[in-house]
Amino acid sequence: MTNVLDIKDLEVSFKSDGKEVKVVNGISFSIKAGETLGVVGESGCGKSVTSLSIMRLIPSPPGRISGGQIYFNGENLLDKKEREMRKIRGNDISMIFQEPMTSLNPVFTIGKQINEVLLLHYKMTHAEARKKSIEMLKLVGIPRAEQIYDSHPYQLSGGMRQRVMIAIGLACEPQLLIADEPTTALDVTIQAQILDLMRGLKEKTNTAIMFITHDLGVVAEMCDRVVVMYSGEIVEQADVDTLFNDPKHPYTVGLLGSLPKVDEKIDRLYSISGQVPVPGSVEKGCRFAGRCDHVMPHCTQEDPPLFKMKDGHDARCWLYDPVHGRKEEAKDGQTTLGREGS
Amino acid sequence: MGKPLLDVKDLKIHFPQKKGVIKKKVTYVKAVDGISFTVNEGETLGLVGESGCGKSTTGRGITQLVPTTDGEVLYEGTDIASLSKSELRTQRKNMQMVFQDPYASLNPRLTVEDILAEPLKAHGVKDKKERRKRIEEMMDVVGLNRSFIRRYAHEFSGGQRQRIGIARALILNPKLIIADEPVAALDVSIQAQILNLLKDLQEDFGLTYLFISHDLSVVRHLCDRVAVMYLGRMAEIGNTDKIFENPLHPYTQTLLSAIPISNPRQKKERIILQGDVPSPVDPPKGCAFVGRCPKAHERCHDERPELQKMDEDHYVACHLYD
Repeated sequence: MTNVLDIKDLEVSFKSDGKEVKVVNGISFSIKAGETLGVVGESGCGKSVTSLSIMRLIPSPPGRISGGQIYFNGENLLDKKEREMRKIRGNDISMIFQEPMTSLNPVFTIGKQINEVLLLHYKMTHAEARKKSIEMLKLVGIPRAEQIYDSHPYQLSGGMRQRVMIAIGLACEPQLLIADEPTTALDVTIQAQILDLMRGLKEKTNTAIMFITHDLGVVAEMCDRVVVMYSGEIVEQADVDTLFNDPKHPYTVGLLGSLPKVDEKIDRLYSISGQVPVPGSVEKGCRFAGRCDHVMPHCTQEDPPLFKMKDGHDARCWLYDPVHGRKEEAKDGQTTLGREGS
Repeated sequence: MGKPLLDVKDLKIHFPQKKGVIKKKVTYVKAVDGISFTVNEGETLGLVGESGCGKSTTGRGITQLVPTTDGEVLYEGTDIASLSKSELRTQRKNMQMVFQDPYASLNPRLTVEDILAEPLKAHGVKDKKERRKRIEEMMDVVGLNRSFIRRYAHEFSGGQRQRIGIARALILNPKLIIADEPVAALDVSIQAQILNLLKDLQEDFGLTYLFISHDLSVVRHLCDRVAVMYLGRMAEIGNTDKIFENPLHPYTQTLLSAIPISNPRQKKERIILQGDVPSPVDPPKGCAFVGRCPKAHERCHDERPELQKMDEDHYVACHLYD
């Protein structure tokens, strides 16, 4: 399979109070055709900024992409002119946002908003666009599609609005769909409907999906591979099975341990102490060092690189360095770290 | 478990909506439409359901933040709805709320000291030194550094703000805490810190919680008993383990099957519901869930099911079990 998206050493900075702060600090990952990649992390880890960078939608100023490349089908998106980008947005790459109410325009009908992308990217008459739009509404499971076509967003429930957003996102059959917390604002039963819909559509259209979320349960169900971000860096990446069953980075282990489980009763949750550092406040060393239970003197001295665990599984942690890592800990790191998680 | 602390009997909260050209036609949003439950001393009752099911309105009705239409809210035997304003004020000392959004529920222009002093002032702690002492003690209890006392609420992160919100609720030594989605706006690692704090506080102070949440994993973790609401009515209520291991109401079954499991190796049978929650203005005549229920039969359309006992501390409102 070929890579649809290849991000290399992406850096994004924002200016605040006259200082430039890096909020995304050299991240690299790729997405293959037809693959669903989960990007997880807590608020402020840079996951949404990364997705906006791919679309070249970082508000500038104050933000700016300060380094790296974003290859989409082998072409660097950062070299594109704004006019060329406009052809790609909504057509080859499209995006679904978290809040379906604020991302739909309240004064236009649903039909008009789906037609908009079609008329912009395809040579279509209005009648053809209408036909295609109604087809899209049916595809995402909206009953009475002809009637909904003429409705306004306020007349629909949250779940229906998110279906409309997905219909707009998929109207031009994009190669890459970026879904930024698409089910966070929805109730569980509606979330289950939407996830089921996205899974079905992916099988039909073979669209690659970049799924940004903070919900690890959703990741476990939807994604093939996962990237864990912390404070603007990728701290771990692996296929979904490895990540959940053999996590290596103390942050990933902590995150999985802090989840309350439905199927078992635990007396006390594992909790990561402290909070996410303010961007730019950690000057050297690992950004997680201040909250890590396994911190070693070397961690505060030098920023760890990504260490390879096995094919396709990397972790950014000095524990796995043959020189600096505690040898005994690195050897049975799995058992030591694993215990907290369970 | 202890004796009943809070006894809600057939509570109804309806909001009138004026319609028509001369605003004469009145319809009612039946946000809460006849629910009953008991919270025993020292336990945590989880109130779960989807948006619009009336769980938050129930919480607000209990503290009389919204007027109740009908029914009784008995706190240690006294009906809260019948109290005068000044009696209610004294009674509120015993029941405090923690709100969902720590960004919206704290005044950004007040310092931590001001925020925590307000309930003390309202309840007659006049001595400034005494107030200061209690505020500092409370900050220790919820894990806030004492040196932050002069900082403003907006200077804190979400997790720390929620600690301030909890401190504000606890400072009057209440018996009952009504927590309305207290961790919904927080990140996973911070959520775990706050859940652990709530558990510790319950043990240390013998608190009773009414925990309102849409997150079933959190409810399973924290609650002794669970009440499942749907469209202003009670669908199922009982012991947490019984409800999670043997859900009886088709709605509870769907709700549980819809939770994403954080283990990719575990695949489960999922019941996907059709459609959305109906409007509480014009709820179905029979069972509230009838339009979406995979097991609905004729009787469900006409007759409203009442809660019936299925097991020790396990009640369900469904015609399947008649």
